[in-house]
Amino acid sequence: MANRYVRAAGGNYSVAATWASTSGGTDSVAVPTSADDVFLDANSGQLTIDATAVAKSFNCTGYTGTLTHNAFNLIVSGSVTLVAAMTYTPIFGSSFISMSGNCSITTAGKLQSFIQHTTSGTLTLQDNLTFGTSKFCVLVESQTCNMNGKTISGDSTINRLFVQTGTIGTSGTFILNGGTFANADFRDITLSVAADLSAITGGSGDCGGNTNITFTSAADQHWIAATGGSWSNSAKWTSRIPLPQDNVYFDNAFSASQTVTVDMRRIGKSIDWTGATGSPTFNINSAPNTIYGSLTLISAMTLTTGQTPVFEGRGSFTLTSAGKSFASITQSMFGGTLTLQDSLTMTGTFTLNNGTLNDGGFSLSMGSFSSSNSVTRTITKSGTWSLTSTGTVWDTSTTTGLTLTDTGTTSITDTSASSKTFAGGGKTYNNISITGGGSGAVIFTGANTFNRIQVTGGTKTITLPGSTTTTLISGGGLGNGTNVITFNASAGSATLSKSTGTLNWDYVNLTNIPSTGGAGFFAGDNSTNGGGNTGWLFRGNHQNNFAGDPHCKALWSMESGALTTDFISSNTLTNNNTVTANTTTFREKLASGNFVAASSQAFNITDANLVSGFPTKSGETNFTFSIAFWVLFTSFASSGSRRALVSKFESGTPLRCFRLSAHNNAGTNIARMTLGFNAGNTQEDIDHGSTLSTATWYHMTETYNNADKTYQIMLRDTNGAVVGVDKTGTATLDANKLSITTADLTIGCNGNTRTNFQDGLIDEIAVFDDILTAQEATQISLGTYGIYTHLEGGVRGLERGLYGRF
Amino acid sequence: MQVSEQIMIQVRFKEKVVINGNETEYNDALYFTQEEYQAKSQSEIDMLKQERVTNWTNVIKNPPAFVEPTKAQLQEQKINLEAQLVDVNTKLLTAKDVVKVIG
Repeated sequence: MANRYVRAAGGNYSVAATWASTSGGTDSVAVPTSADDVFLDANSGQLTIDATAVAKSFNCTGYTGTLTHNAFNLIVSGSVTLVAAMTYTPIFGSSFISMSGNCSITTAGKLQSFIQHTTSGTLTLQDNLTFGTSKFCVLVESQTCNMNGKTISGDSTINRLFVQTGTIGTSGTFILNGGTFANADFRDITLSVAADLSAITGGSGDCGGNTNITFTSAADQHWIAATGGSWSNSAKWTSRIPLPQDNVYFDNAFSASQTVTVDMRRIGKSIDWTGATGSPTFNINSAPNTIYGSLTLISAMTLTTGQTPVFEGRGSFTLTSAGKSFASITQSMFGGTLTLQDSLTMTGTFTLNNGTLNDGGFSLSMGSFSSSNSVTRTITKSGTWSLTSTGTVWDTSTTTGLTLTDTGTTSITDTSASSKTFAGGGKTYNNISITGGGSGAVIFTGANTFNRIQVTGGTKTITLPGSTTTTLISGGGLGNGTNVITFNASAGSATLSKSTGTLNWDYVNLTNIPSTGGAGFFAGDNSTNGGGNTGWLFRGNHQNNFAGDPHCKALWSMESGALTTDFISSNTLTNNNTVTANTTTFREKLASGNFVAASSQAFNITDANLVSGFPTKSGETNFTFSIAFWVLFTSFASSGSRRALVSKFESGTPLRCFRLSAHNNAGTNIARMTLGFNAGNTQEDIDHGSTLSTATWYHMTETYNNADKTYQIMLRDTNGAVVGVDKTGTATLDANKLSITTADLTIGCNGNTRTNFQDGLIDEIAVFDDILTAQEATQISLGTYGIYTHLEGGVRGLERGLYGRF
Repeated sequence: MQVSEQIMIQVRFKEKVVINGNETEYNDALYFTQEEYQAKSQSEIDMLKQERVTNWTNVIKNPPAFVEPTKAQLQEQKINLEAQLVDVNTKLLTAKDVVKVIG
């Protein structure tokens, strides 16, 4: 703690050369800190507060010079003492004196600009406190002010003082002790002892939240002139310039080309232009202004607005804009509600600080919307809100205290090259509609939930929040037609979640957009997989249609709750050791069968239970078959052993018929088809040439024609591409060809004794009693089997599942 | 009679609007006194509706260029921010005091 004296030469507050350690001293010491007492005395020159300035106390006793207070804050924790002989020149509305704790102020009649006392303690007035000739003058008292019998005055009925607290809805206390006010409006002020301020000079204005104050009675004010003019012209009103509690009516006949110009900060309670004739102009372009009730405009008028009206009413009020366009609007209605009565158009920002905004189901168009704070507020939204600007067009990034009920649509409409950010803050929104076209990306932040995202009218890049999950409810498409919509992540991966059903997009380019939640995610046939898109199926949500193929004898789709169900016949499986459904990783419909080798999990059906006509069923005559299925390996068997996939085969017994497996051939895992002959006592192995990998989906189609002993082993990847080379040939066997045995049909293991368990996933096993072609194998892998029709040259598989032929 | 006691007639309407390929529903309302309403023909009311729709479409199709805030607006913003800052500091100091008391 030290003393700091302004030197005779004076100067700027922020410059060390301005200061001395003693009165009349010349040593240049450090600029005052918050622990220093500052003195301007008879030996001090002119001082200019040129930056934010701090002091423990600020004492001008004996000073006769000029203190110029520019638009900066003077922060004092102790006392402020001005004197009559000095000159004090603040910039009204911009020069602050901030005081804290237990402190006092002596102003010696110097007109003040903006005084705030916020930190706990009491501010004690040492003399009358008078504010300057400005509509921007404010006294902020968030704690306690002991007026000590003094008077706090605004300049006039026009340049009224606003006595408020730092936070709307939080009260501050005044102890009058015989003091009073003049030309003042109050918000959230409590008098320690009830007092009647109704007759103070200039009247007392009630801006809400006040306690123990009797205000000047509200009186309806009508504009009584045929001419326009300034709001502050008392001659235009019924009895006075409207106070914040007065309702205001423009129900008169204006002469032609008349303008009413708002030139005050607080302009009344409800303002109603209903009944005005003569097409007047309402000009709220000259100063920001606050309305404490409703605003009702009419069609037959003009609104000119470059300033921001602030709605601060604390009850239920309305806004009727009658098609007039605002620049911006701020709503700070603590505990209040603003309900729109018609469509609202703004070129700038709607800022919701406090209260409830209810759109009444009407449409809003605005540059942007902002409600990012931590106070209680509500958005009730059922109309369409169009956000027309760029940059952050929606900001609810801080959602503490925010209740959002959205049954409407939010549209982001700008199509320029500038980006648009929707900072949703993790709330739940209904539909969001993005106008396509233009290179400017739409960027989302926050773990938001949307019912549906639509992008129409052109291509677009959409950036989803990285390391964050965006949730969709509806499975509806983007509505993008053939316009390619690019989705990427702001960083790392941006997860898209949907819990049920399917999400069906097409013409999308996805990069690092993994999916989760349980739904099926289809990116469509015309989409691009940029990588990092776990869980997406890059094809349309079309399923193979085996129902039209009489040669399909069994179809196990491996669906959750229906793992054992044959979807085309009645070959019901038995689940051994609880094979589970994997609803996260699958290839068809919404799940796959998840087999754990260590738990000996597999399905079986006895030969006797196979439906008649099932190929290789004992006692019957059809030994020709095709079996198609998806498989993914978590691990492979040890060298020389195998993961049996689909079998009717018991090793080492006369029960060998066929076995489809992944065989570990000295460290190389390959697809193998094993055929039994010699009354099931002998086997012949046929290997595909490609090495299999773990964590990779393969579609396997394996066929055997007992008429000529020809076979095929055909592998496809998830895009339907041939893996390696299709293995085709003729088996040797013997003259009796394939052996038909009574072995169980097993899925995920080998034989009745259950060995060689699968470790991984199997999906959509389809069994046919005839031979699939290579093209049909590809169609099944793409999920298009039996769906499409061709004009001519249709392959047999397509014809079998034909819906129609042209 | 106070204006606020007048009976107003609301003509609520909605219309599908396609802007830049994006279809949206426009919801709005017109308000008339009884005398005004009786004096207007349906075609005049339809014209007023169409005027609203057209203005709406124009605003979205041709958003205004960003305008730098005026000095007065910046001053207002500064006042609000300063007030918020002081309030936050108050809360911070109060919290620190509480922490000290709690130990």
